[in-house]
Amino acid sequence: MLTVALKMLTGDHGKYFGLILGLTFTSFFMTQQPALFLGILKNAYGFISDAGQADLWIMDPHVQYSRDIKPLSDTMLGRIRGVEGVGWGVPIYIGNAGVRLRDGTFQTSVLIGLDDATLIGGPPVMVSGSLADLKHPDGVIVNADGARGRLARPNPVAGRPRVPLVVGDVIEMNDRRAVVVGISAGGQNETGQPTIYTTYSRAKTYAPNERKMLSFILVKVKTGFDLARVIRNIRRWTGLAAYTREEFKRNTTWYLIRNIPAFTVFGLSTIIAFVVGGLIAGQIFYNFTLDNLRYFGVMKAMGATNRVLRRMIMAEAFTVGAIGYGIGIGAACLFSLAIGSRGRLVPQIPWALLVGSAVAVLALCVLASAISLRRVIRLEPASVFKS
Amino acid sequence: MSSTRENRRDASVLCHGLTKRYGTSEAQVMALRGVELEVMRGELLMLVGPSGCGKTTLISIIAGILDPDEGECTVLGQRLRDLKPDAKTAFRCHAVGFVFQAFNLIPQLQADENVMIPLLLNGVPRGSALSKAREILDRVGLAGRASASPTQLSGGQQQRVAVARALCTIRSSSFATSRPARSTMRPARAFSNCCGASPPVTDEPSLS
Repeated sequence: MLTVALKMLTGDHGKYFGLILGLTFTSFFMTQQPALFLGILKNAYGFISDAGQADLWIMDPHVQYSRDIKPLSDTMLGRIRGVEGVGWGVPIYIGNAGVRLRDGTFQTSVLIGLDDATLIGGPPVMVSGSLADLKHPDGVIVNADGARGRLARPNPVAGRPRVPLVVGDVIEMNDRRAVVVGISAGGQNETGQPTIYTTYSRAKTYAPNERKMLSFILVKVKTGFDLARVIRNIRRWTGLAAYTREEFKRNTTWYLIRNIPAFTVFGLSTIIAFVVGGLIAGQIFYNFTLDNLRYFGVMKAMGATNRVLRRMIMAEAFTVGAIGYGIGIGAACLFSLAIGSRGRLVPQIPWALLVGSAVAVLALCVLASAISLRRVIRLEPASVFKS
Repeated sequence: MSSTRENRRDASVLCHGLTKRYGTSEAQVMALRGVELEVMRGELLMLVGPSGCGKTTLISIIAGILDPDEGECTVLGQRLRDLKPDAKTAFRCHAVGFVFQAFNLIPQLQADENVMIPLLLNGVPRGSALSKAREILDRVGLAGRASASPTQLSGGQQQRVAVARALCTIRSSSFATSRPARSTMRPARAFSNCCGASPPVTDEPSLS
């Protein structure tokens, strides 16, 4: 009877394509909106991910998220290194710097200053040059998106596209010369500004002068020491907050969700997609069942049990659900690839998001079929004799 | 007395004191009032009467899709009153065939697929059900139209598909409602030959 059910479903082309369109719309938006959100989040804590060697991020206890910099005094570095269980500790500077372009305009960029000796926290993947080249005098590494975007040089030929920065180009920050020694992959941030990496000591000269310049301290816990115990030690002996990479990312995520309206919009869009898509699909499916109510009644009269009819309707709902989900996810993936190929924002579609969308579409199918089923189950088979 | 008992043993439909009312208080309509009916095995019975006299109500009760308010009905030796809803559905599935007034063929299915539905409901595998359905369509003269959809069939052809659907499983009783076209009368006889009893219902006295 399942084949009969599917033929009944696909035989009504208008409603069949309407149902698939509704569910495609739902699964596309329910995947694409969170994927964009996750892409922006990934940019927001991209530099946290880059510092993969460090176990802990040490910061002022009032820091709420990754870009909420409350600088520490340089003496804190020594105190942290002295805490029991700390293997090594290195400074990192994160701030903004104004880059003066050749045409005289200024472009605000995110400046990251890495420990001079170890360069921990630097970009893991380079497009050209190498991280070690930062040791060259005035050396800076620019992320690829910034190099071909906002920091690109004006083209000498009027009306032609700007020329991307390449290794050897010279830029100016805070009236100081900086030489591009490498172009890194990634390095995007949530503001869309270019990211420039240099050494910690050099970053202090490129950044606007402030009394305290140490943004975070990256810490590696000694082998054999309990991470939680080292965190407690740091808090007790220095008064600073210590978070693991995942904790710091989680804090950033929740801060952005709670405080940045754009992130609320993503959430609302997802909910609206679920409700609107669900209503469209549910309404069409309900109408489809009503249109076929007479035939369900006929089958009931001929001896179809409620169980058989329930399975038929569920099969119809899950079939359109699976097709709509597949097309929607495919479209969301194509959308991500298209947006991601431009480099600035790469929408993220982790498996959990795919499962989440599948569960939401499944819930819609169950709901739509349950509403439709009520009519079919309550249908008196004798009613088919009435006309 | 003994001949009556003998008759009753051969009766495929036996109704006693059937009463059915619709609505309540002043709006109440008495559709059946103590109907007594006995249909013998192999008998072709035409149920004739003016519109609204309770023909459809009577066959709905006999077919097990409507419960009487009073009285009882025994079909093929099975007292319908004793059956629970699921058992009644199963009884209809294996023992009753229907030809509906509006045929009620599923428009999205081909003629042979419409015919095989009762077989599928009886658990016959799709392949066997389809070949059996085509065989029966051949018997009602529609061998060449097996893959046509109901909308591509004429009214008479649709009616024959509906008859084939009622015939397609080994049945003991089949029921048709209202105005069987003359083209359907031949299948209806085939019907009564292969089935236990078949009371078509009509309000056309000329057909009786």
